Amino acid sequence: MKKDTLNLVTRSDYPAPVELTRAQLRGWVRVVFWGLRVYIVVMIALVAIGFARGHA
Amino acid sequence: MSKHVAYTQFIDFEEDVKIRARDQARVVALREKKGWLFRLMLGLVLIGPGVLVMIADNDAGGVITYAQTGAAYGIGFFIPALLLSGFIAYVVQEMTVRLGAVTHRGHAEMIWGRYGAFWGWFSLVDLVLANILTLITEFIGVTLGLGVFGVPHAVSAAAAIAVDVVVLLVLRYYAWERVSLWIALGNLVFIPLALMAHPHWSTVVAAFSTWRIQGGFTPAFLFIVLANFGTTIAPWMLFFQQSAVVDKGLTVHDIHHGRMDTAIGTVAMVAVAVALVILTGSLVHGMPGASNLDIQQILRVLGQRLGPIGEDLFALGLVEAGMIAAIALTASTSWAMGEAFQWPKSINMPARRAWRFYLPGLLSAVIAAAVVLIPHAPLGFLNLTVQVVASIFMPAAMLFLLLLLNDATIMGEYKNRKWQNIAAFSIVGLLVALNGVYGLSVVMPHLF
Repeated sequence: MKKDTLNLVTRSDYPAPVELTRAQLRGWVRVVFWGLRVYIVVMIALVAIGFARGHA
Repeated sequence: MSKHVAYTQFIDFEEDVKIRARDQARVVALREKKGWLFRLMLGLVLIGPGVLVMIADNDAGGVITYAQTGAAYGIGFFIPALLLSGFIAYVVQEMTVRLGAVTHRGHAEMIWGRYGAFWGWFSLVDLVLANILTLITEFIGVTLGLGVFGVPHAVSAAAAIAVDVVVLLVLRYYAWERVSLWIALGNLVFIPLALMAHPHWSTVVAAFSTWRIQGGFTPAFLFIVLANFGTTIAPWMLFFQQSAVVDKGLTVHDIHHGRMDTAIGTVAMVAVAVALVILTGSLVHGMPGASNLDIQQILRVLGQRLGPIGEDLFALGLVEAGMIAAIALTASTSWAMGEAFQWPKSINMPARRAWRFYLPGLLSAVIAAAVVLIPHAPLGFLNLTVQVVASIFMPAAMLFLLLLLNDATIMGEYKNRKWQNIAAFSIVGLLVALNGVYGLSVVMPHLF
């Protein structure tokens, strides 16, 4: 089994992960997200219709 | 408690650094040395995520799709289309290299942290479901391929699971990556197979000058186009490569090598895909009923035309394609779950410390293998369905990628340039348009 490497040499200069804060959705980005919601709903409906009719 | 604190409370950065210290030290040591030999060694050390993601993309489902495409449509339309899709795949995957190297966070982690739990859950559920569906196609490939050699399906599925478990649980990231790369080499078997078919190269060249659709623009043709795009770029690829870049510990200094890695993988992926279309386009296309052959029938035709060696090599290629993709998809699921729920999430970690990280990926593989063994399961239907589902959800995955790559506060000088945005938004537009046309063909079939 693989060894636990926690005791190996430390590289303190390895950059830290970027800080994550919630993005503020404004302007066109907000519109894009609503477009994405509509797109997802429409495509799921179409795929369901397609499968029901034997397209796939 | 702020959202930021709540989100990062489980992250132990020091532990993260320590577990990949050995890999980091190897890269730093090679980078400090002069001479072409050390530069070559550095390149070989840094190669991995890009080649793996692209070769794993030529998975069993992909091999089956390309083989059926060549059989049904010959080499006229799809060879130029495959070159285009290779370019698309490179543009998309290169962005994940930059995002991973700059942020040191995986894709699921970025979506969850930046856009909240709703989109985080949406992406995670979408990814895990698509991964399980795709894993089913991988086990179809493995069982069908080994079936040619008389191995019972239950035995081949169990053996594939065993390899997947051992590779993931026993090896640290670097060894896992090297073993996976050796397995990925087997994908190239389709290139000599295409040469064995003695294709008419003039026909291959002519495909570029007379780009036309045999049989016209029908719903069946559109479905094949969607399936081909679905197999060339898929959501799991974004998650996989970004997580692999992070787990490997790549930094902004490694972006150049990450791009080379991705480019090499793209060339290999396109070469294999083109080889498959040439193979079946030369040997199977034009036969009665060629457009409706399943992969077992195609295998039999290859056996008749190339002899047992041809059939055996194709079957081995199918097994390899399924195996390398199963390894990648399993890791992709584990990484995404670990990132979303802030579990310890590295292939460097021993199973006893990171069992929650390893469990979802391996469980998804076991579920997929079990489905394949169900008698009379609609496996062919599942294979094409997964490609269509992946291509439909791809624009959503791309959107998050593009928003993150254009976020100057995160990416700084590594944010997307104008041409990268033009190319990437064009790809999203192409995907949405293709999906829209597919939708129209469903609702108004008389239009086609």
